[in-house]
Amino acid sequence: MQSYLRAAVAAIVLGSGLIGRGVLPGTRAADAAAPVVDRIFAGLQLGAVYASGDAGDSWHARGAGLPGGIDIASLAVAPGGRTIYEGTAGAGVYVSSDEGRS
Amino acid sequence: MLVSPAGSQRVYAALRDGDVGRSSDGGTHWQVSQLPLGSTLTTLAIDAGRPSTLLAGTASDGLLISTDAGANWRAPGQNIPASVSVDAIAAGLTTPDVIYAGTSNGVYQTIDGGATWQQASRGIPDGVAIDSVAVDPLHGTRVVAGGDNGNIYRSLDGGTSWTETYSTSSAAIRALLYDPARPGTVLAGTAGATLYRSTDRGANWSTLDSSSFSSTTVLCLAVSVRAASPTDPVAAPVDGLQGVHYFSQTGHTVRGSFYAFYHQYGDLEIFGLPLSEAFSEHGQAVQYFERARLVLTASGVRESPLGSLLTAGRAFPAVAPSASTGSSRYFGATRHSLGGHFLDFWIRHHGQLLFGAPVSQPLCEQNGDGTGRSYQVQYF
Repeated sequence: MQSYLRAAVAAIVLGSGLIGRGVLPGTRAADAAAPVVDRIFAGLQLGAVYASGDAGDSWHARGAGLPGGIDIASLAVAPGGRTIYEGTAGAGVYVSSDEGRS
Repeated sequence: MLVSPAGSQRVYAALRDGDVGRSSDGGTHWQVSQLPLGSTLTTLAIDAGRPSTLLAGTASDGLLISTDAGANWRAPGQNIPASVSVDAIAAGLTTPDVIYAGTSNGVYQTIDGGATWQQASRGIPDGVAIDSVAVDPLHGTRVVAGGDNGNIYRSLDGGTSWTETYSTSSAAIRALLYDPARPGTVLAGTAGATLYRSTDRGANWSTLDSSSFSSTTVLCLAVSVRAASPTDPVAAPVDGLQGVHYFSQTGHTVRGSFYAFYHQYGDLEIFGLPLSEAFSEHGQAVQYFERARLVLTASGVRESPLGSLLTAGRAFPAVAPSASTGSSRYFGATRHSLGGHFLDFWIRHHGQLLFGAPVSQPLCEQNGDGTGRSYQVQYF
């Protein structure tokens, strides 16, 4: 996991589509017909990231390599689902290229 | 494709001190642009219809808009008042000009892509801060908003009026996410580390199991999506759907002429379970099975020559012609022979149609089943 921009991050968005909080990344209405959701991610206080592969029924810890104790203020997932951007409240943007495992 | 490859490389980060970081290579290199204000940045969003238009929410300067991918910023003509903090921004994919902002005093809305903003909080008590907003990706008029008082509000008319549909005991609703793959499903994360889910567009909510969470506040929710693949399992078809055969072991159906061929020439024993749905590959309808790839051709369903494909690049020494007998056959086209148990199997299972001519003699090889055992094999 690589870290960039040593700063307090309030939000992250990816180009070509609206993410904000809770909006499907990078899609337009026509594409939104039947995408497959690989995972849902939750960013928590104190540096914790969890992932669910079953629509939220069960959750597993992700985010090894993130600094402990710093809030995950924002998450963005690149199309394809492999690259995840974690915006921290003080330690910049972390980029994971293995679905947040490290 | 969900987005252009170029687009997926662009990343923006709102920095709390009032700057915006921009990267055009997936986050490796960043440029920082300063915003013309002294207040804290709280949130950031991209206009779905115009990917170079960005909206930044602030703690005490309303919203700022950039129309050149984050390089320059200005305030909208009619801004959200400086007296409130903007905490969340969300827009629908079907109605990109309609954008919602959750603020320290209810919801504000634009219907002209961000130029003018009005309060749109009818039904939300005065003074309730809205920490999170999400728009149904398929229906731009269906919106949910999460309050710091622990209530979830829903609008079915594009923000004109709101109804409280759920009240957590106290914890602020920090994050809301529409599940793009399950129409009508919304997740809510709270400051009490509890997750809630609604499967009816925010009308009714149930608690999800978040007992494994190590921290007490959910700050954000995100989702990873990809295009559907023919190997994705499908749901069982409704009972009595004519000609559709469902294999629950792999979650795939076999139907139509593929099923007729599958059933006529050996079923599970010869083809194994379906590993995909039927789909178009290189302009042909195909379906993959554990032991076969079936192709719909002009002359009907045929098997792909998997033996030749598997052994492409390998050379097998040809054998000298011999007269075919009851226990051995010689194939002049490939210059290989077939006998014994393999010939019996070949004859019993429509070998001419399904397997064709052998492209090797019997060999002793492992078959990748993980046991390390060697088997006698022959390629067709």
